[in-house]
Amino acid sequence: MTRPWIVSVIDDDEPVRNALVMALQAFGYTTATYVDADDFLARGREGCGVVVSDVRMPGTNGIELTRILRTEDGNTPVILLTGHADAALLAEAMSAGADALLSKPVALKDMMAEITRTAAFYGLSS
Amino acid sequence: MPKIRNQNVYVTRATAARREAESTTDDQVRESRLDRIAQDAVLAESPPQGIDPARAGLAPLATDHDANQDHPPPPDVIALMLADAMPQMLWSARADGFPDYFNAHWYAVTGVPEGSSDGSGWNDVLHVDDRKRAGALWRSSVETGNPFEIEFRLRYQAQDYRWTLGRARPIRDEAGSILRWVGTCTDIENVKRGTAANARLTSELNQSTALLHTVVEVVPGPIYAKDRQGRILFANKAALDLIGKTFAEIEHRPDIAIFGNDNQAETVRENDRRAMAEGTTREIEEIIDERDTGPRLFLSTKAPFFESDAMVAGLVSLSIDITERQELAKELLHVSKRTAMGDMAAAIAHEINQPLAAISLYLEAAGALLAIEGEREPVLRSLALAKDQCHRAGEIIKRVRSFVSGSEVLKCPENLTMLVDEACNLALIGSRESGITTTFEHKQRDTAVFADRVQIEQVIMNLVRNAMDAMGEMRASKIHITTEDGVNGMAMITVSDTGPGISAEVVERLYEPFVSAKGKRGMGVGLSICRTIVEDHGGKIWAEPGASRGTSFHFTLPICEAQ
Repeated sequence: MTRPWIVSVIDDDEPVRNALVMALQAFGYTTATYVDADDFLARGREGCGVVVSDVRMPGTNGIELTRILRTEDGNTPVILLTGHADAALLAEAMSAGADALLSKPVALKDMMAEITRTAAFYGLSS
Repeated sequence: MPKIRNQNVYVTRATAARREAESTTDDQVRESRLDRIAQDAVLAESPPQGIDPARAGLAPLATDHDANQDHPPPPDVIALMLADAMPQMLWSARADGFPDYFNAHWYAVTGVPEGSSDGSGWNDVLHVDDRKRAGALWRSSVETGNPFEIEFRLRYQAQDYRWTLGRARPIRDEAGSILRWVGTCTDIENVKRGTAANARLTSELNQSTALLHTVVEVVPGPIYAKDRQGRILFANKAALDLIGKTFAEIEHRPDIAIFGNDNQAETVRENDRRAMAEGTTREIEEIIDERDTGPRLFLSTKAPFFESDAMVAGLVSLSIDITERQELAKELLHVSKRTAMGDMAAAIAHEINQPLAAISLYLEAAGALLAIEGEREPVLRSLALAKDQCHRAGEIIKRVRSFVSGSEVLKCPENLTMLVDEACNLALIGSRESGITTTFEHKQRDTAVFADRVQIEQVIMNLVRNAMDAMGEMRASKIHITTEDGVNGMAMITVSDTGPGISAEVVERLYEPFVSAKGKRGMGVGLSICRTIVEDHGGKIWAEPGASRGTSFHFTLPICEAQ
């Protein structure tokens, strides 16, 4: 199953990034990977599809990345992953304009459901 | 002008002076006065028996005949010349107390006209407060014949008053009757001043001694002094309480007789001996048995004192009971560990969460790959990666465990590079996410230090976490960690950050418990513990401003030479 959009994976933790990519690819997603948000902002903006980003990263963090994307363009789906989700961070993520905040370790099933739902919301064709 | 021509007439020296004045001066005032004195002073045709005329201030009167024959000046003239030449105020009075002669020095000193001091005139040059007393005492001496002696203030050249000692003795004839009085006045101003200064110094010394005594007695720690042979010179109350003896029981007794010969006492004696042999003040920890509470840990300062020839004369020892302080330090070590753990708990949770997240994803991927592709290779790769992440999680847990356990001090040779790297692995958790770049520079890779691994890891962790805290949310934050072999067989570890730096005021007190550069965020026990640990290892810890900004913390550890 191939989709006309990709999933942009942003995580500074290489094993986590690789695992995400491997799992998503196993389920038929096409992925692009970025070592952090600044890497993504530098070279991944065009045709990024659904952005799946870690929150805590060196440089620009996931929340700031979401704000930047929302300020410049309202049409990029953003799903944030965090190792320590709490109500405050959820509120911050929502207020920044994130479409979802998922807690790590995340069940791939849940993540894929969220990716699919968000892609549909933004009118990305399946 | 009357002339006295009788041979063997005895006159006072004043008369002789008259004669000299007749021949040598045109000072009419002096001449007439001397004439008057000469007339008054004619005593007898022959000298009183038993009185040495010269000693009594009398001299045989020279005859015209003698004088005309170019003989040397007669003795009375010599005596008078001597009296006037004396750098001492001399005076003489009649038996009835009427002063009728003052020598040249008297007039030079007082500056009064010649003759003006005769009779009661002398009283005018005394300080007004001393006149009555001096007059009364003089009258009393004249009446009783007792020697006259008084200290009074004499006016010098109409200016200053100076303390003067006036003394007079009667000259008696054989029958004991007073013939004349002869007296002196001696300047004792400097003596008086010296006496006053001495009194002031003595008073100050007494005060200082009393103050020192009070200080020494209220100091809660034992203080004692001993001479080079170990004989006790001094012991304060705390010292006497410690050994349960009175000072009388130990004064000047050798220390060995007082403290016995057990190992503890011998150690203390050896410390004293070494301080005296080296001639320098030493600070040393000593264990001393207290009668009621058993062994106590003291921090003792041993200060030798010296004789004038720079030889060590003995030693003063001052000890402070640091048993509680040491226990508090141990307690603080636990508090610090708990605090550090609290601070790090979130970071560790995050760190463990990362491999768990990866494991979960790899396993799900493996399942998906099995279902969809049915091929073994991608599945096995996914599982292998999941296994790696299990190891990663296990390593983190192992490091945490080794940190929280093992409170026993166990010093052994440790590779410094590995020690620092491993401590930093744990300490730097979460640093990357906070945007902190960390660099290492191990100038020598095989240096071994003599250290308790857990404790030194804690020091490194503390310094690294402090550096991270200092930089907070700053951009382009950097931590640079170096190890290098330094001087005196010590290795130096440096943790530098690019934070805002620490104020000079805080730097000075940084190692005191509960002083923190982190404001309200820090407990301020970390560096205090670090210092305790580092010093316990024989090293030093200090902070200084970083090369361009931030702060560099250095500490040293003894290098372990290869066997």
